[in-house]
Amino acid sequence: MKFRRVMNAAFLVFVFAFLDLTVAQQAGGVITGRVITDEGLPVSHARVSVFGVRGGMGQASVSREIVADDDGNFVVDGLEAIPYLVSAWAPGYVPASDGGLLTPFETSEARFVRVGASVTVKLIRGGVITGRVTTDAGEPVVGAPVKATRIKDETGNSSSVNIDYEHLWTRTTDDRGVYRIYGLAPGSYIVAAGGRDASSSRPTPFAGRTKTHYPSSTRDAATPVAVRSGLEARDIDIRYRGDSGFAISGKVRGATTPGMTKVLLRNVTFRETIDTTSLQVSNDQNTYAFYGVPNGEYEVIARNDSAVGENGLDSTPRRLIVNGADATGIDLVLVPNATLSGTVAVEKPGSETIECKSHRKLYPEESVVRARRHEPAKNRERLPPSPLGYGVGIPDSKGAFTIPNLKPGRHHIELELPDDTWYLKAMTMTNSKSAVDPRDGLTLRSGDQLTGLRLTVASGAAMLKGQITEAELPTPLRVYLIPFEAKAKDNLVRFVETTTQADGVFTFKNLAPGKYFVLARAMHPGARDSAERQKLRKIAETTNLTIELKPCQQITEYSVRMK
Amino acid sequence: MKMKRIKFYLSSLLLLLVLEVAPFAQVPNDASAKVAGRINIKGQPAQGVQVLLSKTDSLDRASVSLQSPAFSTTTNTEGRYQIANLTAGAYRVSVYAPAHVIDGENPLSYEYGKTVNIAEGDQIENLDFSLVPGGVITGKVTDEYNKPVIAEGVQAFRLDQHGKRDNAAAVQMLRWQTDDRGVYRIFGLEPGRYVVGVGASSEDPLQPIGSRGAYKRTYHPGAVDEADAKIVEVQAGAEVENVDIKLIRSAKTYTASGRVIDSDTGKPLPGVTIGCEFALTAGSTFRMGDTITNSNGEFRLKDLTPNTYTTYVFSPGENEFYSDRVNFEIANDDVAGLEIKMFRGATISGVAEVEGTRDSNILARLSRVPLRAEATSQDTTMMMLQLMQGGGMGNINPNGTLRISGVRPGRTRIVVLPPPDLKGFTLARVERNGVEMRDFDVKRGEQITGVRLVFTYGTSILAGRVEVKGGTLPSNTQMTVRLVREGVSADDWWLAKQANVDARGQFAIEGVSQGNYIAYLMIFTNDGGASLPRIEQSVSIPANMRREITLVLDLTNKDDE
Repeated sequence: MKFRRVMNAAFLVFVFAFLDLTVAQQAGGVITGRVITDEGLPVSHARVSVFGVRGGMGQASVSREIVADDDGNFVVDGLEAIPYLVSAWAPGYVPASDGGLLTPFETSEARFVRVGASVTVKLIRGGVITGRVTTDAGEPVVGAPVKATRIKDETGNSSSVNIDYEHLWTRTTDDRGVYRIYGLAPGSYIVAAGGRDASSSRPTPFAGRTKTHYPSSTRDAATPVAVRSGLEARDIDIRYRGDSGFAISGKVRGATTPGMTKVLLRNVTFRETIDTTSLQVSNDQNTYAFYGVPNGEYEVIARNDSAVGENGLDSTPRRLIVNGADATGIDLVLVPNATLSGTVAVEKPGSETIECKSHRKLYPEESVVRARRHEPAKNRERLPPSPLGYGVGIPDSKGAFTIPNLKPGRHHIELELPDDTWYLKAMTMTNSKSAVDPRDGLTLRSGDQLTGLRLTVASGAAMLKGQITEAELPTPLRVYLIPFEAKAKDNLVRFVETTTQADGVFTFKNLAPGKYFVLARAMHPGARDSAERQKLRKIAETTNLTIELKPCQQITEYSVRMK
Repeated sequence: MKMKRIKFYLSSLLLLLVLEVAPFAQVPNDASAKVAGRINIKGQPAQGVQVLLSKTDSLDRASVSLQSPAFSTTTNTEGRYQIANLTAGAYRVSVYAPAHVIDGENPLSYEYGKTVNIAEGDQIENLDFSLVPGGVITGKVTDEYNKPVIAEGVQAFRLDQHGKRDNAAAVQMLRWQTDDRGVYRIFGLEPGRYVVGVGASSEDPLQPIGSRGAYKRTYHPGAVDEADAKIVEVQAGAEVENVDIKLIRSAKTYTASGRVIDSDTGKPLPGVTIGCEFALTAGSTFRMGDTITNSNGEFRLKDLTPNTYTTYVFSPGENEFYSDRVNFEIANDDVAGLEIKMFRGATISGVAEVEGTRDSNILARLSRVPLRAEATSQDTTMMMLQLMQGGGMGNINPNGTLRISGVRPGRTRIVVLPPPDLKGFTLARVERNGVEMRDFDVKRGEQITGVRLVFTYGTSILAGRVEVKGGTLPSNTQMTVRLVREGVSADDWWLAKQANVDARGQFAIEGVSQGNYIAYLMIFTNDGGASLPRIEQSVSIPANMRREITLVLDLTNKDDE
């Protein structure tokens, strides 16, 4: 039961915590914080997890877990200077959507904090879905797994959960057929009874049969259930059908290193991961199978989860249609994911070097390099290959980094710096034979191991905080800073953009000093290519709103009027 | 009883980590066998009860997720079920009725259902089950401020006829939890007298240490002392409501801290996971999260209640290193300065071969047989604990060479655990430099070479049945037949093959190679009473054949002893 889960988790910890013999820099840093509700009340005794990764490939992660005090306060000390993810958990609560931290629901991007930070973690009361599972004859179905899957968040945007946490939203019916799933983030859910019960050590009559969705249907006709914070969705009764389903099976090949390989089964129509299975791929031990699958169009993907920060292997997804028969021989071949390596280098001090007052020494291992894949939102990959999220590389103390687990496609590079006084000055490929300008994005093919990306950092960064007023356009808005000088017009490193908050406030940090056009527009895909940038620059030239930022200058009350 | 269960959990952990379990290989044969029976509830035929049939194997519990799902059927109006068109093989027939108590089955045990070894064309009737509706205990758990306590494990301990609690029930804490209202509902209970408790106690082998801090084990209605607990009477099919518990916060918890060093270099080891357990129930618990060493190799174990603990580096699997174990006691203060050492273990290398075969297909499969080096003189619990501390694991390469790393010093033997689909392999003997050895001395860090593991490979089957004369065995008896080569001790399980005797008294041991053997019938009962004699019988097994024997258990002898 739960024990198995604990042990699975234990196994993962063991995998990525194994025998690291290096000794990192002094560990004297502190992260403090408070866990509160959205009303600002403390959440006492929340479990707080602080998770960091030392840079470079295959370096050990740092994981600390502590319990907040009666007032929700916590202090984690003895931390070395690397980026951390902070999350909190309390039974019955879920992270507030604006928590911005690593949560089971927000898998797309993790927000890092540095030592010295004071973090506020907001939790809200989870919602509840409860009901009864019965047979056609009205008899209770006892001991059946019932799972709630979030399909939309509270604003109606499509959502999908990190499948590693799905056990949190699976409960078993009691002797009356009653189930109660709590701790649900607000949003829209589908609820299904039956299927394989990962928590059961005994066979069940549900495993080989298809799930029945609320109220008594297949996935296509499922009725979504609305969940609100702290409220209960009652009488979500399911008439269990127990239809027979089919099997999908095949072999997984190509694993070069031992490790758990996960096979994911995804419903193509609804773009949902509906089941996973794990196996140790080695020699001839490589058969996977899903059972109780209803007719429909599916995609199977194998994923060899590596240690945190290391490169793993993925298979090419295989599509198939189940129509009244088992699907066998759906073999999957694992290939290493693409990687991108390089260095974060600090510009050598020269005559022009400017150090701001609040200057803090730059530890490259506190910065985060991100590779953002350029793809339509609707195809966005929702399952991160590691707890760090997609496309994250953390430099080591010499600045060397590798971003593992990259999918084929064009990636834009961003650098997140730990201190406001530094900015990214240049981005070059040091060993590229062709004239690739990494500022326009780097194109990776499957299994590529691209090296030589150099990110040069200089001190003297400026900061601009402002507000858009009298906007007739709907918020939020996209705000652009476009280099003013003609020779810099295509310098992507200086071409920056951000989104305003609801009140129109926007912030740019880590800016290169210089003159810029300021432009605000309705939500827009962004200046991802040269043509798009030319277009934006043309508009900016006509509106002709400019600002000159001197080294270390901090402008905090900049008002932009929009007509 | 308690120890047995701990061992089971440990072995399931090891299987998870060490073994790769393949789906059962199907041997094509005639699908003409049938199994049928009747289900009664309180003596009356019961309609609509779920009956499951699954293929079984001695290790099947380790691989539930990889197994094909059980075949399920329901009983008809006469309470009958029938499953036809079965091929020969070993099956488990079970009833899925979580709200009921099944006669002869301990609801807490991982043993369930009845195993049947079905021969081609067998028509098995009367594989019957008797059920009783289980009782229900429900209530609410609150803290000292009357707020509901959420996601807290609740345990119901059944009292035996002497009024003592049956610790087997501790397993239930893994299943029964309070919901967001603090409400719990325990169902499917055997009729009897219970005490119901919430919170941590060192007596429970599976209680995570300090995982949520601060509650002392509290019994309904609010008793810290079990003697003050109010007893709950549960009758078949009846519900007892309002069995509420008010939790009492522990007076204080403590912290133990220390560091992990490499014994060779004295350097601290960052990023290693610390295991910590109650010293008296080794193998019981595991801590996560904050118990990974920091960059200075330091660790801190928080929220510890007064008790004796043992701590070590958790690093199971193949590993050049192993850790020692440090015991400490929490009385009324924090403990600091613990030092756990990691040692580079000895290695054992050599070759493996299969007697009398050069068949490359067979030799290739040998590389999937995991090897283990273990101390000869220790009980299973300590052995399991050592495995979590790392080292002593190895494997055979496709070219026949073998290596076991991280081996501890001392008297050591090599044991093998063939996965279920490789049951044809048996370790026949271990040689070192051409001399047969049951075990050997390992010095610290020694590199032992010239070891030869000789396996046999066979496809014969020893099948048969057990005839019980002069009485009947208690319903909770488990019988096992162990087959060892002549000249090998019956206690050397790693050189033996064995199979459980099924509900009809039948057994089948597959993958036996040609030779002269002794079959031992071993009898275990749930209450640990092993007073029955061990039956043994010589048997000669031909190559690639099925051999049938009958073992007679004469219970009339028992009274003479």
